[in-house]
Amino acid sequence: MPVAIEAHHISKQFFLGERNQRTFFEDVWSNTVAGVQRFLQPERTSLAEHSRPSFWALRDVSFQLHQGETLAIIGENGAGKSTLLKILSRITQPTMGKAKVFGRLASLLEVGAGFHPEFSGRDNIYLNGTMLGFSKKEIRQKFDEIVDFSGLEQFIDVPVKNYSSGMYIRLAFSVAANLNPEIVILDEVIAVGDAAFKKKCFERVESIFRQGHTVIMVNHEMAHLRRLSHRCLWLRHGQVVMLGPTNEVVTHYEREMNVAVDDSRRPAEFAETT
Amino acid sequence: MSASQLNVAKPSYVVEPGKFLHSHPKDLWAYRELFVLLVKRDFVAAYKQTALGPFWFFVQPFIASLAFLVVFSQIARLSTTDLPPLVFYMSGIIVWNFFSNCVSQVAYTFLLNAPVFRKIYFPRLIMPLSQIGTNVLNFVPQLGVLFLLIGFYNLSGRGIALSPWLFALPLTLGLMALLALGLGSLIAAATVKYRDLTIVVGYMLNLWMYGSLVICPRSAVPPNLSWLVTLNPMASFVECYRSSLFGTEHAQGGPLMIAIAITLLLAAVGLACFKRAERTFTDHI
Repeated sequence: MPVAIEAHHISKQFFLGERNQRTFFEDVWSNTVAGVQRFLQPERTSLAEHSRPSFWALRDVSFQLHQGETLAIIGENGAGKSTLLKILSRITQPTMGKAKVFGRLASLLEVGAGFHPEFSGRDNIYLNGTMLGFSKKEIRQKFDEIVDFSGLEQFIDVPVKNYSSGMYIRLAFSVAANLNPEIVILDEVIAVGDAAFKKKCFERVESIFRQGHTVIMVNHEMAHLRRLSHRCLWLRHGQVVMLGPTNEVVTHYEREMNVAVDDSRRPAEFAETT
Repeated sequence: MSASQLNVAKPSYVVEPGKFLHSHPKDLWAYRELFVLLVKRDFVAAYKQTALGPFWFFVQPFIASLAFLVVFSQIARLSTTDLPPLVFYMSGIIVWNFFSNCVSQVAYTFLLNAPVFRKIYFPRLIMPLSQIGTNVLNFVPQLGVLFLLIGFYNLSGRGIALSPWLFALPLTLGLMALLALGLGSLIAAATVKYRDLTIVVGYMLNLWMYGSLVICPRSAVPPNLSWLVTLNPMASFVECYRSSLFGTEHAQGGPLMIAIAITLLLAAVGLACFKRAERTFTDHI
């Protein structure tokens, strides 16, 4: 089966602390001081530079995703899930490593970010579609489907600023879900809109799976993952804990989470048993 | 293009540290339709929910020209070559507005588009390029108004001859746009770190205008200050622009060469800094 995503040893380092909070003159001053120091004592300053506070949001993450496969990414908050997605979607660059992506990649929920409030739903569909890398022709072909799916036929020529937040999200979801990007990121997608629209979204997601799209799922209930996803990537503190069949990984993950929950509930007991 | 038709051997894109993958010319071309839509968006959005709408094209340069007429022509008695002061000032003001709007809007690229840049990838350079496109669209009707004014003068007996060099006008505009793109993207890259720089840019552009031959021809500049005008690329471009319109001034070869050299240098440095900034700016802002 052809490959959709190939990620090799992706690492991402973030710098913490003072960076970006100083004014221009403070920077000039500290750079001058550092320059003089470097001139006077070369060894000491290079040490000081290396000790700048930083952390690795991702460390050595490798995986391969084939076309038509579904990958679930699980992990606690701060595990590096969204950083990984940002790197794969070219929002930011990795510090080390390399990823090859075959096809267009779009997240179903974040599309609304490109909406312009003064413009009608119609104009925003085109604007957003082209931002995602689709041609106007492709969008025109899907236009009726998108409008139909969103249920906003009446309001399609109204400026988006007059939409309710529910309508806004519905339109955003409809654009990405109906344009059929080759790789779809499902990010807590089931929690959109009212009950009826939720059902529609869910059906749409199911049909995305049936059509054999490549899908990356993040932040979903474990029951969904077990049912919909082939493979699962478990991250903790930016590192891969496990990568394998979803059932296996989720079982391990849940076991560990339960231990952690029990752990916090009964610290004394836990201490005794160990 | 369905998933199965994709060429397996060649990835759609590769993410790698240090690789200038954004804003590659091929990428930019692929997103040309986005460019057109963004130009249209900004052009239309500027006049939605405003009292005067598209009339701003005409009102703003007129009022500014009248103010200049009073201050620089009537009070300061600065020469305006053989042109009526109103035509001289208006031609200068509309082209200066074009340049200064380009610079200041390009400088805001990262600050204004951060929410979109954080969510969706597209070549970031599309944004500043579309700002320049919008400003070209704004400039054209203003130039039309200038021609109307000239026509009015001609009808009332004060003949103003247009220069046969009119075809060079797009060229000078292009040079100004390139200078604005270079300078603007340099500032945009710096705003990732220092957010208040855009305020400085506003002041700078205001002051810069007075040294750019917008309010007087080169011949009216005192000799002890002429080096300042020579080193100012915008002075040469404005002079070129007016000489291609009217032929009452003549573009000076030396200063023009200096101006083009500065423009190319600034464009190269500005775009390099922009590329550097776009790689990881989402980690900082």
